[in-house]
Amino acid sequence: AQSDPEIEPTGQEPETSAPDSDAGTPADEPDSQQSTDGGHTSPEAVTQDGEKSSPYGDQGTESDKKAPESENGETVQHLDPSDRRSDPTREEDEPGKELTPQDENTTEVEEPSRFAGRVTILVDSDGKPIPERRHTETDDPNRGELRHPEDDRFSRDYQARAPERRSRRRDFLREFVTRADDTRDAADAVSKPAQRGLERVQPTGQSSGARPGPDQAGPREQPVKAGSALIGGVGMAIVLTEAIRYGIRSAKGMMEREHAGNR
Amino acid sequence: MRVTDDQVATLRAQLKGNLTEHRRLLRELDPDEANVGYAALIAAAFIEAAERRFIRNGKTADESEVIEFVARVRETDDEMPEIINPELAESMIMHLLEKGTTIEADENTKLGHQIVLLTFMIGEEKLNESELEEFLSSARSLADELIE
Amino acid sequence: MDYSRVRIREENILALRSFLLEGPEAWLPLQDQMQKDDETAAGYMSLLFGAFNVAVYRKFSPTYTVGQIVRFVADLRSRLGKDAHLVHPLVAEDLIRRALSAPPPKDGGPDEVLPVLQAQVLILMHLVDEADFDRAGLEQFIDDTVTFTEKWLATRRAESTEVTDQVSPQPTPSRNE
Repeated sequence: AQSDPEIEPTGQEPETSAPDSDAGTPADEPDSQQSTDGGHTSPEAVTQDGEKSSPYGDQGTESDKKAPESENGETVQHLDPSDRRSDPTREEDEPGKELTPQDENTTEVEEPSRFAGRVTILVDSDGKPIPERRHTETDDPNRGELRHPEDDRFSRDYQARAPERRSRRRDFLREFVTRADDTRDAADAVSKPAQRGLERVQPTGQSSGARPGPDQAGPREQPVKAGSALIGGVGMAIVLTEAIRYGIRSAKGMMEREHAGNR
Repeated sequence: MRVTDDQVATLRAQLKGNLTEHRRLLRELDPDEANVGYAALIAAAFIEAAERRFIRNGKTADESEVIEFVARVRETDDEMPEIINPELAESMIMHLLEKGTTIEADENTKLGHQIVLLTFMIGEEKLNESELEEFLSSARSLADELIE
Repeated sequence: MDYSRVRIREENILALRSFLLEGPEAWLPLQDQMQKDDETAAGYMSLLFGAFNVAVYRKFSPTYTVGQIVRFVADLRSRLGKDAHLVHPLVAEDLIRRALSAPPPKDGGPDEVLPVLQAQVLILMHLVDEADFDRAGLEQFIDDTVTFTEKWLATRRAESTEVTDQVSPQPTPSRNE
């Protein structure tokens, strides 16, 4: 029988796991002070009463400073985490935390939502948010202070981020944040597989033999997916309908064009 | 409530490949706080990582690139195709690129997908120490915007 | 479906050849005679199913990994561009694994005729295109398909001696060759 294996047999490749070490190369800065947040994510809210808040404060290593207390004057709502269970349906209309006071669309939520809150940010005359401790006289990266966004590889994208995009990110966050019964358990379940993403090895996987050739043994007993309808009138009708015809025609056309290029 | 240093440390350990440390820190997190803060941090990190990976110089990746990325994740080993649903994974990223909507899935599954996908995205970026810290800071800021 | 009434005849094989060469458009002029009843349709459709199985077997012989199946389906969907949605990735992977005697995935996607057929036909056409058969190669492929399909139908007939019109699913023996 003309058999024409189009892939090489792959034996089982030994799985080499990466050492339990840093994912990255050694830091560029010998004095490696952690930089504060470079203002990539700046809400455009204006403070309501001139008080400073510090979403950008103190975000070094765990041995470093801790997050500022809310007593700094932020107008926030403190949530009792257990309240989330009283809110079985996620409220999409939360207090307009990122909106200016003039915005008419601010709504108050009736029941406490898991993530309701309000942020107040001090902004400068250009409308850019001012992080808590900014030394403008020197912007030396080695000091671990705030850099110019243009110098920062990831902050370059900040420049391209329109205000609409920043607002959109908050919308996304609201849509994407999960409400597992036990976030820790759910996270733990994937912690090991996720590590594969940090390894730099080829894909591994067990090699299996393809089933015996059709001329050697009978067909397998696995049930046909979608059952006998697949090969009966229903299946026939589907093959002949516009939906498939269009899709396959265009796909075949694409493949034919590719093919023609290869001749 | 804000994202805590412990929660950031937990994610940091994951992204640095310190699995044992990560799991230890995870176990030590306050469960109720984690349900709010860690969940928000993960979602924010996922959004941040996806933007950096799939929106460059204002140009949004097309569907083929997303399909290709998810395939790279799922072909890693024999277990990964069972862990990551390609339809869900692709729809999550396409949603962030404003080219689709996330399909329905339970909360645990969505969280798991966010963690695996963001780890793969960060792994491909090959961040150094300070870049990783910037990333974590950025994600933390975004998360805090939601939960404060 | 009364499998005892399903036969592979010359016209079915001719139709298969046209399908492989020209795609489903080739069947449009024949649709009236093809759709007479389930068993008549099955004469044609079972060959498509057989062709899919043979093509997949050849593609992933002699050994394969699950990752390679993932990669294959992703590449096909990427190539389809805006038509990528026609191939449900889980359905496609499930179909391929079944064709290779691999344990089916936990989640094989929807068990419905439309997505299954879309995936099956698109994979088949892609593999045929990739194989780039010459005339002899095409005839051999068709021969293999007919052989497979005859055996498959014989098994279905044996199974359904006591069943009215539906195949009763058999438990899957786990076979790793």
